[in-house]
Amino acid sequence: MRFKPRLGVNPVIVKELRSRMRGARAFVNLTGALLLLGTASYVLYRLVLATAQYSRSPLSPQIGQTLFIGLAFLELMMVCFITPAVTAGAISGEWEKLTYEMLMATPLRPASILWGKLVSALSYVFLLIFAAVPMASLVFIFGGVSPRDMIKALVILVAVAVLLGVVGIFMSALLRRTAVATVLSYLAVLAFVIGPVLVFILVAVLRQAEPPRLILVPNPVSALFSALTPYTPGDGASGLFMSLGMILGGDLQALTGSGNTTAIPRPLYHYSLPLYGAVTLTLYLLATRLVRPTRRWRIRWKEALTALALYLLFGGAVALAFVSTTDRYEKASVLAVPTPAPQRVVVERVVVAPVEMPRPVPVPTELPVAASPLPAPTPTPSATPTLSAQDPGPTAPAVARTTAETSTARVTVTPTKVAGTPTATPDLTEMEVDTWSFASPDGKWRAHGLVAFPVNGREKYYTQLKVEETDGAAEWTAVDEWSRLALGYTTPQPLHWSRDGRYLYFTNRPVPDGCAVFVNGSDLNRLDLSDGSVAAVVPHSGLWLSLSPDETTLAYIGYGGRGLVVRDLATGAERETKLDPGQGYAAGHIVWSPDGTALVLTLAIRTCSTNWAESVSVVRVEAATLKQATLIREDERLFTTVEWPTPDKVLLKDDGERLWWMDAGTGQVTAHDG
Amino acid sequence: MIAIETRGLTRRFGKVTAVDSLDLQVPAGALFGLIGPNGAGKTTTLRMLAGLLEPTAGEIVLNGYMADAGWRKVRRQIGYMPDFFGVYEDMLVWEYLDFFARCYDLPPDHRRQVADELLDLVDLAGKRDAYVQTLSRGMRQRLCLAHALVHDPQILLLDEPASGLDPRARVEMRELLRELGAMGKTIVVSSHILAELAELCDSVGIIEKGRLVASGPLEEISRYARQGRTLRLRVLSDQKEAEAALRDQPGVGEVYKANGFLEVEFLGDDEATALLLATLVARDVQVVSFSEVSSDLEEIFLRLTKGEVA
Repeated sequence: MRFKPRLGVNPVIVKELRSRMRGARAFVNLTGALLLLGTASYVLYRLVLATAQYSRSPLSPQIGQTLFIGLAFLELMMVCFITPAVTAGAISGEWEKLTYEMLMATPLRPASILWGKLVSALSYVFLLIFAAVPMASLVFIFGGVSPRDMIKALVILVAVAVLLGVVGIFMSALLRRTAVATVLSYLAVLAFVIGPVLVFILVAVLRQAEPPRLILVPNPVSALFSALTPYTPGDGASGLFMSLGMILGGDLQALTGSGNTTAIPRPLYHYSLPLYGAVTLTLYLLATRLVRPTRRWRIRWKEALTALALYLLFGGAVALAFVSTTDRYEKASVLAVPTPAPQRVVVERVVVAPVEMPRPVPVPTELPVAASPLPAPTPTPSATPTLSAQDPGPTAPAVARTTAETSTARVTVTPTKVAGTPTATPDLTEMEVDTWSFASPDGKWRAHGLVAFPVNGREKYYTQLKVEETDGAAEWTAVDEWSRLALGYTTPQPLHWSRDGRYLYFTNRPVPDGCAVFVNGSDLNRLDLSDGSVAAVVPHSGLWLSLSPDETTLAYIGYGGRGLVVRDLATGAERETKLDPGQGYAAGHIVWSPDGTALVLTLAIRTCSTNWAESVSVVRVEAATLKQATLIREDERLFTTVEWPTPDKVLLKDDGERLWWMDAGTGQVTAHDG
Repeated sequence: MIAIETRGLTRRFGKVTAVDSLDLQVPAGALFGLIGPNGAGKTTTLRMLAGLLEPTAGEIVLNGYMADAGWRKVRRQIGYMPDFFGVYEDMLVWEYLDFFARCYDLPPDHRRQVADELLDLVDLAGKRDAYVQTLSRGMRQRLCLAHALVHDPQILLLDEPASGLDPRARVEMRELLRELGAMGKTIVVSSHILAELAELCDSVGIIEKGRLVASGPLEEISRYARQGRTLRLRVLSDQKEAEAALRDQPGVGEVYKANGFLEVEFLGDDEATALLLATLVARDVQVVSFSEVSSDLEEIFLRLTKGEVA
């Protein structure tokens, strides 16, 4: 008999769509799904409005992003629930209804039956996905989401739907029992969604270290979030999704390991999509064998070559995609275990920062205590800089101007980065840039800070700190790096200019998500103004840091409720004392006495209530004994400590920016006469 | 011309041999009955003929084509109706036929015409727009037959087409098959209900435990089986005497009493039968009637498979 080419549509598709779309059921289901999504969006919208109204960042894009991520997440869940249900019965249903033999007796190829079943089942899932697009497009009203994001989300949703569809149909063809196939398909979905997370946690617990991101690659939720995690930090409801996204999207890496890499790693979904593709292709090819009534595993040369060609084509496409995007991402592979840079114990930054920040509301930068570089106190004769004597010397290999000075490394100082080395300085014209600059007290140096966000990117941001000599003789680049956006971001800012004019101490000041009252930094780094080398002195440890006038001791408010920590920079020895006046307090504004024997700090009580705090206490702590004395107790004028210029008088500022004097011994407050 | 031929066709399921070296020949245009008890291998044979099951050994030739690697070509010449079949829910009768017409690549304009013609043929024209699941069992059976006809196959393989039907539906089905036979199609019908096949088929194959016990035109089979025959006689005199007289004669097997008749199993040709009657009369048995019971297929079947039925 002569061969007749197949014309027209696959009969199975016609048949399946006729019965699937018949009557009200399909449309009732679709309407139900859209109503669910609509309701969820509305609830999310109200949540964002309710929780984010005092936020610093513009509200509209936050709403847009939160709604979009929420919708995409819900749709993903829907796909995970519905796809196995519509595909697990595709082949087994024919067996159970005893119609399979009738199909097999026709010239219809088994592969056409499989294809028809898959396409018709998936077209229903696709209908659910794409029917939500017009609704999801509402997020464009709010902004913060680009059509590119929408396409990314759709691609991932479709890829997951196809994967789960093929898993379902494979089970159906393999087991020939709808009930068993359905159960196993859902188990497979669970294995994809929950399995990687469990393994991730297990590895983390067993190794006591950050597990490789690779583990999360199979997880569709991780893939989705890795494609969508926005760069604008949000509060409340958006914060919830963001945290979820961070955890599942593998951004832990960004938070912990790659904070100071100069390029960004590939998002997880770049690995998830090829994995899904490979699994889909393999299961589909296996299923084409399983649906055959006879000669199941007798594979002919032609068929084997076709399969091989498909794999090569697929592999080639993936390789091409990877090569063509390789400049955008770091060379570092996802396979590499993120080993935190030895000089930085950064894990705390992830875990502690959100914990440290009390309940939402006020705005750090609008506070009178907004961080600014501390004015360098007037040098006191007793202050003898000792650090330089213990300087570990230029440890960075590629320093432009190397000093010959070397000495024993007694200080816990290790180098982080080399000033002046070429890095990925971006084209700032296409970014949202924020700059600031500070002059050194002697007027010889100016520090210029910069943070820049790509207009369309949401994965990384760029920070820079340059210090130039006023006469133009030298310019150092202390910070020049790309970082992954996490819960908020950090900006490099000067903290303290050393008295001998040799060093600039600077910190990465977090601009956190949520409410944090006192923030002026997180870590302590030192730029040697004579050769431009940078050394990390103290890792991320707290949100408020203050160097003693003689620069030998750092006082800071430690993460995790440690209270006040006093660290001897020479030995690294720390002493700490709790500062707990009850629930909901924050401490900061540490001010050293001119002789460095005592310090005062501000304790904000019940922060982030209606104002940034309900009341404020001022506490004096003796540096040697850590003995505390409360000089002002729960005063509602909301004083903050500003400066301790003379041994007996501390300068305060109240909520209305007026200045007051406080007796350093008794705590008596008198009006400032100036 | 031979439409269907099998040579040494064998199918094993594990240790069970369902079909054992079956050599079958069905002439073109024949209405062939495949008869055997349940589990004899009828369905297995038909499924192998339809290309749904791979023979363990042996070969199948359909209309001169070897049904092997190229069975997809052969498939277009076969219409197959399984013994147990389901129907799709949420499907109209015409859609059902349209679907199978699409499976056979019928051009769109032709599909509708074929569907309507077939619905007329199987007397379901009035049910064209009914849901398949609302049809009665007999209607479904006819619809299933119609589906096997959408591509106008030369060979029809019908597995127990009359099973589960009420007597009237059986008659309808039988008429339908006759009609199809008259169209010149080669039809293989399997059944374990023999009466209707005896009336319907012009040749039969008797299958038992996977083996073909006998095969050929119905008369040949009958003649073959008729070496043993059943005689029925009525006597005026004492039945016991008659019985005793009968038992003495050569070739006489069992003697039964039934409704005032005596039924005698007798092995012998017509001459021997005449001699038997003469002997009885000579022995003063008053014979009122003496006739041969016309053996129907069922009887032949029982005789041929005697002792082999599990």
